[in-house]
Amino acid sequence: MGAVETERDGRVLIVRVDNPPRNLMDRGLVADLTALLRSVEGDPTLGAVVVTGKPADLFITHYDVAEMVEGAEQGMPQVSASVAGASYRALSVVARLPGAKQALRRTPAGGTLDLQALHGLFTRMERLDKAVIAAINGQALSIGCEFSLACDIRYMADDARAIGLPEMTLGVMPGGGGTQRLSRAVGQARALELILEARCLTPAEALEAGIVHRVVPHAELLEAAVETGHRLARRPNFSTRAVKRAVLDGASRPLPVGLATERSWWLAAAVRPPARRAMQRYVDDVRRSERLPWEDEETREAWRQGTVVDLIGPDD
Amino acid sequence: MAPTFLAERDGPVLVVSFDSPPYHVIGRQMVTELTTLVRGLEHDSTIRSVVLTGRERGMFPAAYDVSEMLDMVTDFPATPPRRLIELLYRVTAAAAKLPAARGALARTPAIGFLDLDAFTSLLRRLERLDKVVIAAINGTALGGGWELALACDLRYLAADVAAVGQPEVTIATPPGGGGTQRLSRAVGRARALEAILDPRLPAPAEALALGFVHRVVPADRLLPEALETAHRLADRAPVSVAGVKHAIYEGASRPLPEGLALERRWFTAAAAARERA
Repeated sequence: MGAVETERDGRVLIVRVDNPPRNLMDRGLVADLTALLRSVEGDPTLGAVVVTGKPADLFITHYDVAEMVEGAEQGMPQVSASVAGASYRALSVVARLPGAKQALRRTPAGGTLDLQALHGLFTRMERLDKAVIAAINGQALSIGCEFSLACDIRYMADDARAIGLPEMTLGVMPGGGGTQRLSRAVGQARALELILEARCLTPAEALEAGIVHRVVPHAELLEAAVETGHRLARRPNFSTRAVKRAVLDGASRPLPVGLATERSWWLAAAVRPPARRAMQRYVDDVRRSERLPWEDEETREAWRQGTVVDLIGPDD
Repeated sequence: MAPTFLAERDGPVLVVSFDSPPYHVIGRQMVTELTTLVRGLEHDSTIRSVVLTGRERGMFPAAYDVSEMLDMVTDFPATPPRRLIELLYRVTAAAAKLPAARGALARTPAIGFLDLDAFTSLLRRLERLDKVVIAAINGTALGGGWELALACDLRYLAADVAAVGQPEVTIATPPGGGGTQRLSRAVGRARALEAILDPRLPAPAEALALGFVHRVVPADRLLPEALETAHRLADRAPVSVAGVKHAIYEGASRPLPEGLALERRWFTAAAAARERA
């Protein structure tokens, strides 16, 4: 895979994006990342994925503007949002037919296919049964930001210049899920202002706004992300998937529906052997020490690190 | 068995002080007693706000009783398909509403589901109550204990509490008492997802900064401040309190037009109630 380099570090897969000269997101990179995700889906030997940029100070920058312009020029005449939406849906169906993709590629609809592939990639990341951590080592604007929003956890280098969705300054709007994922990530009020104003945030501001979870000195960024990756990879993939599905699917539905989603994932996870082993160990610890393990900071940390009980067994 | 809490009236405010030794965890008995109390409150217009707290420092419900959780799943085969378990759950919960079926269910593995159903239904009842419910958290509140706090309308946290949050993933399950849903809605999906996948369990200052709680208060001021708020909010019209809670809890995660319709219905009801008064 040309634009991505992978390295296995125990149960963590480190993915370095390398798409010279500018680490732009383009058709090829979307295809490479999609192929990579397909190959790790359901792989029980991997528990977390860390994505970073290979060049020292480049994460994923924006979408290849040349490709976008080409798409817009061949593509859509001026149409209303509802007409564009209907054509998008129709094309999505047609593109599933064998051979249709190659044929459509040569028509004005080519740009739409790219957008569809990009959305497919992001959804695949959210559905993956492993934690996906973005180690944002350079500025993350437009697609770079949208890519990171499709990751579960975002760590950012203290010297990465900015993160945000400045599409409005180019006369377009975010199209890779930015309006949806940013609103759900930090709330509508903040998202609307940031997108309308095309305001990009420094790492410190992004942390304050809740867009990134941690700001780390540049030299320690990857190490910090990989360390978290190892910790999260000590949980069974089923539990990680259960949490992701309950939060990502459940939390944007009506509350009763979301609660039912959570409940069914809880039940399915709680009856599995790793959960039974962990609960049994917890109960034994309480009996022996006559206190709750979570009451004590050191023990709480050991549980968090996933070192108290081995949850990764052949039975998960 | 001694009751798991003491409920005392202070004018229009009901103070529920938990005390469930030895571990101060939530279990079948506390859920049953609290459900009885809340059902009574649904028909008691003289109580206008409720404060939930630990009778002494460290007595706020610390977690759900894990030994009871283990009982819930013990008699189950290890890896039935998720949809099958969900189906069994629904059938069990529905059947349990018939008094005659309860005895029969008690002899099947599905009986554990009834405990989960009782806990989650209790939290829904708190949300639907036409009174303001305030959690005055004066002890570690994790897992089910934190989910109880999340189902309250306001959360005040004593400054000396060690940690709050959802560590369930460390025992290989997601939260099961609404934590994934209520935390995401309270603080946004980004912070919630990290807090649940990698539970650092914030101490008070961070809990406040992340939006987990509304106020952090010195330990000796916690109950007085919660009571002051409870008394101040006690004169709000019941239909308005119910309307605001319902419009926000139910409406804010629906498509906007539905949420707006919900708000409109409650507003009309509140206006009509004021007219009659």
